[in-house]
Amino acid sequence: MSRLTLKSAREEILAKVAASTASRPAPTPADIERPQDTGIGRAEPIKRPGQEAPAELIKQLETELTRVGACFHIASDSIAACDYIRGLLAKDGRQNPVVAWRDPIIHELGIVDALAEAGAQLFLDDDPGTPDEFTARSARAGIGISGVDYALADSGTLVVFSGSGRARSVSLLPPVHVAILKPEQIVSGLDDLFSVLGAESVDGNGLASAITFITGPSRTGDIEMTLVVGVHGPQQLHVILLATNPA
Amino acid sequence: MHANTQSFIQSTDAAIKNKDLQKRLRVLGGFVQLRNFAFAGLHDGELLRDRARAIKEEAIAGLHRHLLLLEEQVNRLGGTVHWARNGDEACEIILDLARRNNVRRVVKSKSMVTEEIDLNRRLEGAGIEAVETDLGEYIVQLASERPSHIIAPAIHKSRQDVADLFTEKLGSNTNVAEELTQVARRELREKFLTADMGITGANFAVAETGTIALVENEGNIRLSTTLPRIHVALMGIEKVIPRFADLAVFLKILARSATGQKMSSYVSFITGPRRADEADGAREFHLILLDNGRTRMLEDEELREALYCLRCGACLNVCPVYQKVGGHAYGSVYSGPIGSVVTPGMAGIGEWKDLPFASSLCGACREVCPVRINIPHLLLKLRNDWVKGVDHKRRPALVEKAAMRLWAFAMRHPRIYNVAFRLAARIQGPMLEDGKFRRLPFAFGAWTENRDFPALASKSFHEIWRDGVQ
Repeated sequence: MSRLTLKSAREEILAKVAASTASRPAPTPADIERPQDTGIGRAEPIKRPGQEAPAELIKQLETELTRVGACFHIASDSIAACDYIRGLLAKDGRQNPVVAWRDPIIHELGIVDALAEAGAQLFLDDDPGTPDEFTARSARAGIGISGVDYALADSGTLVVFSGSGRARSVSLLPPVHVAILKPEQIVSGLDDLFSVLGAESVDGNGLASAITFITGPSRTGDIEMTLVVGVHGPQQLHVILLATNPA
Repeated sequence: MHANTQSFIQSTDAAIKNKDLQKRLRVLGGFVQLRNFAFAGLHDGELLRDRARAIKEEAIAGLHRHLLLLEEQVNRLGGTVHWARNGDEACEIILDLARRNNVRRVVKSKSMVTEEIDLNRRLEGAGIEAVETDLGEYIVQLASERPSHIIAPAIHKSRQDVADLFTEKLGSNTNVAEELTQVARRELREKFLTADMGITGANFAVAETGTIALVENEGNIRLSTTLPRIHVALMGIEKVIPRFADLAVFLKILARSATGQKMSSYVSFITGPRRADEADGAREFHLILLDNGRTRMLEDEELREALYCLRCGACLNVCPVYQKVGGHAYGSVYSGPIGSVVTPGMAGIGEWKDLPFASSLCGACREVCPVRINIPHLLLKLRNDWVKGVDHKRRPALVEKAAMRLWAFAMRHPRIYNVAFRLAARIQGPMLEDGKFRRLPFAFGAWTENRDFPALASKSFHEIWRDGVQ
């Protein structure tokens, strides 16, 4: 056995990497700390995150969402939003349960009462059960209702953080995903988003364990490049913009 | 990296004669159009490519530090980092994890690196069911084949091929693309819900945060990282990037280069295992850092550039050779122009000599590469390595050498050159067929094995020029 094999894989790989890159000056550690300006390819931001979105940004989001095969609906209040969801439920035949986040936006929506009224079964993440029971519920559900954290107007992308009460399966397992969006969550694009995320999280501590970008329903082109919607993820994506700000 | 059983020339012959394959490959033109359209709609697209390139240069130049930081961050988040010198070690790490956790079923999401290390065969050898979940990969796995394209693994199959395959293996009875997709959805959903381990690749790994980024359209990667209790991500060491914010640059160009989308349907950023207060997501997160010949490329000042590759597949789509022969003919896991560089780059030129020569050096690959890898130059460099006998023993090509010397001599002596060619033009007649050389004499015959050689013109360009001027 040669001496080399006694070294651990880690040591050996790192030694080789060091030997091959030593001749070139690597950027200093300070460069890594420095937040990078990614502001290539954009005009000045139309709005800053947290501000109310102007009409043009909403219009752009609608255009892009429609382009990627999502349905965009503006609800003037939570009652209108619940009506829209009940409409989806009616199409689903009301056979399957609904799953949702346990989150302020879901509470604000009043969907718990609205669905009870409609006689539909609703499970919230955090409802009592065994640890994996919620996943099983999501797998049987017809509709999953989640909030979002940001929406990117220029690509029609929803940005969703995982966390307590925000099960990942809600936007993933049911064939229909309903996302509730608020106007102040809309930003123009990736640059704005990453400038916010970068400021929030210099290291992994500040980041959710899973951040998911969702751009339209799940899709594939693997059979003769024919676009088919609804592969492993949801077949339908409905984005409801809750227009009013509760007082 | 599996050895090629057929020579490249034999495989290309078969591919070109395969009418069905030729029909399938025509769709590549569509990819190219979509890509060009997507970049045309991107403000400052060229600047973004420069920026992406610069980040990759920085990432590789500081690879040692970036890998250490990545390891530190993943560990801090409660994940585990493993290092593997080669495919065998990487497979062992995964098998060991599977054994210790009593894993029976593994769901896999499209990962070229797992193809590279031939993981499925190893898992199955250990009695563990490994299910490919990307639709294209699933089709290819059912057919016991290998992917023929980085982005569209089953591009060589027709809808009817898939329908027949599903009828045989799954008992379905349809040839409609939508319905076939639903058949796969149902079959695979059950697998996802019962799998103990999910294995993915990683498009990027961020040193500063310990985050891996995964880009997809179908949702199978999300399922693989959400449902099974163990998530194993396998990545080549070159995939690490310095900062989280760098992702903004790469995400703008990756999907556009690959499929012409502004953004793929899903991008997942996984930062460690699920936290204690979460209802789902893998409880264990393992990151395997694989060398398998990458440090060998890093060692080479020129080949190092190929480590910047994002695996978008754009160079395959535009390549006139790939367009004609498809991915399987290359005999390697990575096909097309970049495959012809990284395959011999990682495994040595000896066994993969044909690949760098499988190019017309037209430069289309370099045009579209989102990180501007100079692929034609690297192909030439590898040809040069081959001729010099780098990494392999080669019979000295005495005839070729002598011919090149003679040619160099003639080029330096215009008078002799002119006389020789005028003479050749006069005596070539008996050897021509339809005004072309079908077979060149002597050692030059190799040239005409696969193509004609044009007849020498009766009047040289110099003569035409002179006459024209007068």
